[in-house]
Amino acid sequence: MINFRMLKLSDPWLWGSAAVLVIISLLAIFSCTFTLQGKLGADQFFYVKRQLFSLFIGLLGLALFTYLDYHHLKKLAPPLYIIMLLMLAAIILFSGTGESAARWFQLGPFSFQPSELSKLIMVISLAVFFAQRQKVDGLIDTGALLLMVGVPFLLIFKQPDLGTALVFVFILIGMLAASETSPKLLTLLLTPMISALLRPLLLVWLLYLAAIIVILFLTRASVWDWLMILGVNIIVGIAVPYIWGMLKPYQQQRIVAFLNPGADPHGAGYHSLQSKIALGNGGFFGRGFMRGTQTQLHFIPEQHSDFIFSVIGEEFGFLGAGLVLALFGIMLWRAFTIAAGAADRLGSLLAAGIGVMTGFHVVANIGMTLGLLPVVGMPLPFVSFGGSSLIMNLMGLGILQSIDMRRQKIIF
Amino acid sequence: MRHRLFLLLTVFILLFLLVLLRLADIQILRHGFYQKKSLDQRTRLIKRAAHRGDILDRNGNLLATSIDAVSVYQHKKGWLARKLDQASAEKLQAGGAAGVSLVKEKKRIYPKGRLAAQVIGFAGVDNQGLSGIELAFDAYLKGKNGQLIIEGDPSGRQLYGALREIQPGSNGMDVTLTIDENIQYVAERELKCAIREFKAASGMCLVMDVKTGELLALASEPGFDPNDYQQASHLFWHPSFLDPFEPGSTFKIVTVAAGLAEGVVTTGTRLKSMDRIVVGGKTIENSQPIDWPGPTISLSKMLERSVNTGSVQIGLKLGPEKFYRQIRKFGFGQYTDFGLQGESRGILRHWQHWYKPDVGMITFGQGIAVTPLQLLAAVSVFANDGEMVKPYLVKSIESDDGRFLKVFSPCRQTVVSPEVAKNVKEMMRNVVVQGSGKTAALKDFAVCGKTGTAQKALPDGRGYMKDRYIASFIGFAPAADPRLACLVIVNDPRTTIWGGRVCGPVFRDVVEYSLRYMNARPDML
Repeated sequence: MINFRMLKLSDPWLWGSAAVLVIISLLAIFSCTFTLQGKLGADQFFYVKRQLFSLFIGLLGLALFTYLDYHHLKKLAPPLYIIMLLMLAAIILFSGTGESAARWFQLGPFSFQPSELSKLIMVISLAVFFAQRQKVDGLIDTGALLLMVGVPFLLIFKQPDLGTALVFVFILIGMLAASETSPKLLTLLLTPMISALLRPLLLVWLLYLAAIIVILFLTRASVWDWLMILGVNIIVGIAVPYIWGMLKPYQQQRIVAFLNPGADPHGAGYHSLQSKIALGNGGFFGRGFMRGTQTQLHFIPEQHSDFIFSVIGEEFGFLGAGLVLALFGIMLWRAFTIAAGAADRLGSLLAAGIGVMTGFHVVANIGMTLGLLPVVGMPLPFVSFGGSSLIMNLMGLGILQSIDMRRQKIIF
Repeated sequence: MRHRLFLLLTVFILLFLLVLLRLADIQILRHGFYQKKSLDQRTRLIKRAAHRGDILDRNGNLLATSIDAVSVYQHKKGWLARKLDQASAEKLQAGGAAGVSLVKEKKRIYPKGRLAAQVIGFAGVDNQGLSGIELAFDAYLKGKNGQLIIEGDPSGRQLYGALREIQPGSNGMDVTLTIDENIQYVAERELKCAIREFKAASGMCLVMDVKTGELLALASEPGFDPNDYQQASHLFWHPSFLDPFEPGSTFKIVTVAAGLAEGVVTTGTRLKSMDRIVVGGKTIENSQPIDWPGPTISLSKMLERSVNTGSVQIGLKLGPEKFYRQIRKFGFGQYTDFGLQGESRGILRHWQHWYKPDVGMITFGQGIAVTPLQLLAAVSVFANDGEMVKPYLVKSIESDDGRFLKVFSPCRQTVVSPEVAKNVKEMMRNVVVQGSGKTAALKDFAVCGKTGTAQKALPDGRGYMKDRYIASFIGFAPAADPRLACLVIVNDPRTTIWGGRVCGPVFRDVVEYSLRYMNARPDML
C-alpha cells in the first residue's frame, strides 16, 4: 500500500534536483547517440528508450526504499552483502579473461552491472557495521572493517574495474570520517594511501616519510603508534611497484596518460584531450542542443556513458555544466543535512554514506572530463547512460527520503 | 557527529568549487583556444579547380575540354586518387579506409588525341597549363579556383551536410584557334607518310591562310597524345616550329626580292654562270653542276635551278647593309608573336657583325637561322602584292557568360612594292612549272614555290654536318588569287635529300586537299 501523504513529507529539493538531472541526461544521451544510430540504420531513440525503461525500474526502487523503513536494512545487510559477494565472484568466474572481460550479467534483452549495485550494498553494510558500534577502534574492529571492504574490493579489482574499486575506498574513508572514528585510525588508514600516490617519486616519498616522523614526534605518539603508522607506510611503499605490475596495461596507460595527456593525443590521453576540446568549444552559452560539433562528430567514443558531461558542456555551455554541478551541490547539501538530522546513528551513517558515494562519483567523473583526474570508468550519477547506475542511484535517493521522512515519529 | 558531517560537506563543496573553477577556465577563459582546436581537427580546406575553358578549332570543334571526374580524399592522408569516374571512385571509397570523401573535379581531356598536340599542349593534374595553348593562354583558360571546407570526425567521416564551398570560383574562358582540324589532320597524315618514306627524323607542315595570317594547320611530327603526355618523351612536347633553322635555298626568294627592291638587279639582269665563287676567302659552290648553255643565267632561271653562285652575286651587289635592311623588313630576326610561348626570333646578326662570307652565304639561307613561321610570313609578301600578314593562332577568347570577348584580327604591312612582289611571284611560279619544284605542281591550281635543301649546322655552330640535310618546300596557291601558304620541312631525310623530292609531294597533297576543302576557285585549264 502506497500512502500518497508520504510525498508531502518528502524532500522536494532532493527529488527536484534528481528530476532535472535526469531530464538533462535524456537530452544529452539523445544528442550524442542519434546520429550514429541513424547512420547504422538503427532506432535513433534506442538509447533514450532504454534509459527510460531503467528510469521506470529505478522509480519503482525509489518508491520501494522510500516506503521501506530503513531500519529493516539492519536485517537485510548481511544477506545483501553475501549476495553481492556471490555476484562479484560469479562475474569473474563466468566472464572471459583478458581486457575484454565482461562487467555485466545478461538477463534476456537486459544487462545488469553488479558492481554498480555493490556500491550501495557497501554503503548499507558499512552503515550497519558502524551503527552497531559507538566507536571503531582497536585491532579487531579495524581488521573486520578492512576484511569487509577488502574482499569485495579485490573481487572488483580483479574484474578489473578500477573505478568501482576506488569508490569502495572512498566510501570507506568518508564513512570513517562521518562516524566518530579516532584521528589515529584515520591517520593509520589515510597516510598509506598518500604513500601509494607518492611512491613513484622516490625522493618525495622519503620526504613524506620524514614529515610523518616529525609529526609523530611532535604529537608524542606511543611506541605502538610509531610502529603501526610507519610500518604500514613503508609496507605500502614497498608493495606499490608490485601492485603496479599487477595492473592491466591499459590501466597503467591511463594513469600515465593522466600525468601528461598532451604527449600522445591519439593514445591514452585522447579521451582527456577531446573532452577538454568539447567543453572549451562549448564556451559560455554552448553550441546548442544537437549542435555540438565535437559531440556530433563523435570525437569521444562512448560519449553517452562516462563522458556525458562533455556533451552537456559543449551543447549547453558553462551555463548547462554549471547547472549540473549546482544540482549535485544541492543534492549533497540535502544528503548531509538529512544525515545531520536523522533520527538515529544508522540513518545518519546511511545518509552520509550515500552523500559521500554520490559526491565522490561527481568529483571523480567531472574531474576526469576536465582532465583533472585520470580516466577511470566511473559514471556521472543520474546522468550517464547505464541502467544499473541509474537504478542504484534512485534507490539511494529512496533511502535518503526514507531517512528524512522518519526523522520524527511518523504515523501512517 | 554533526561536526564531522559538516566537515565532509565542506570538503565536497571545496572540491566542487575547484571543479567549477577548472570548468570556467576551460569553457570561458580558454574557449577561443579550444574552439580553434576543435575547428582544426574537424575541418580541412580543399582547393577545387575551376572549370577550365575549352579549346576549339576555327569551326567550333572541341580540341580540349573538361569533364566531370571524382577524386577521392582521405581526411588524414590527403588525396588517394585523382579524377576517376564515379563508379571506381565509389568502389575505392567503399573498399578503402574510413574517412574517405569524394570530391567532384574536372578532368582535362583531348578528344582528338594526337591531333595538333603540340599546338594545344596539355594541362597538369591541377588543371594548370603546362605547354602549348594550354600554357600560353592559361590565364584565360584556367578561371578562378574555388575553396571547399570539409568537416569530418576523427576517422574522417563527414559531418552531415558539411561539405561547404567557401569561395565559389569562376569558370575559365574558351579559346578558339585559327586551326582547322581537317586541314590539320591531312597535314599531319601527309607529313607522317613523307617522314616514313624518306626515313627522316622529324618534320613540320604549316598551312596559313595567306590573306589573313590565320594558321590553319601546324603539324609537327613526331607528336604525342596529350591525354597521356607523361608517356611521351619531353622532346616531343615541344613544338619544333618555335625553333630556328637554317632555311637554305628557300631563302633565295628573299634575296631576289631584296635585290629587286633595292634596284641592284632587274628582271632582265643576267647573272654569270659560275661553278664556284669566292666570298671573303670562302669558296662557295653550286649543289648541282651547270647543265645549261651560255655564260649567263636569268634571275628566274637562277631560282628555278637554285644556283648558289647566282644568288651570291645578288648579295655582293647589295652589300651587307642593304641586304640586312631588306631581310629585317621581311620580319626575320623578330618575333612573330603568333600565339605560343617560347618562340625564337631566329639568328640574324647585325650587318656590322657579319663575317666576310656572310653576305654570300645568307643569300642561299646558310649563316642565318629563321623560324618556320617567319618564313611563312615572308612568303605571304609575294602572294599579297607586297604586303606581309602576321601569322596568328588564336581567333577569339570568350567567357561562358558572354561578358568577355576578345577577337583577334588580321594585321598586314607593306614590305615591297606590288611590282617587286609580282616579279618574284612569277619566278616562284616558274620554279614549280619548270624548276626544282615540279613535284609540287597541281592539276587545277597554279602553285608558286621554292625548294630548299640546307646543310645541317653542327651543334657547336662551327661548320656543317656531312650528309645531313634539312629538306623544305615553301609556296602558295592558287597563283591568280592566293589563298594558302604552306611550308613543309623534313629533317634529316635519308633516302633522298632534295627539298623538291621530299617536301614537294607533301605540299602538293596538303594544298590540293585544303583548296578543295575551302572551295577555292581553280585557276588552271
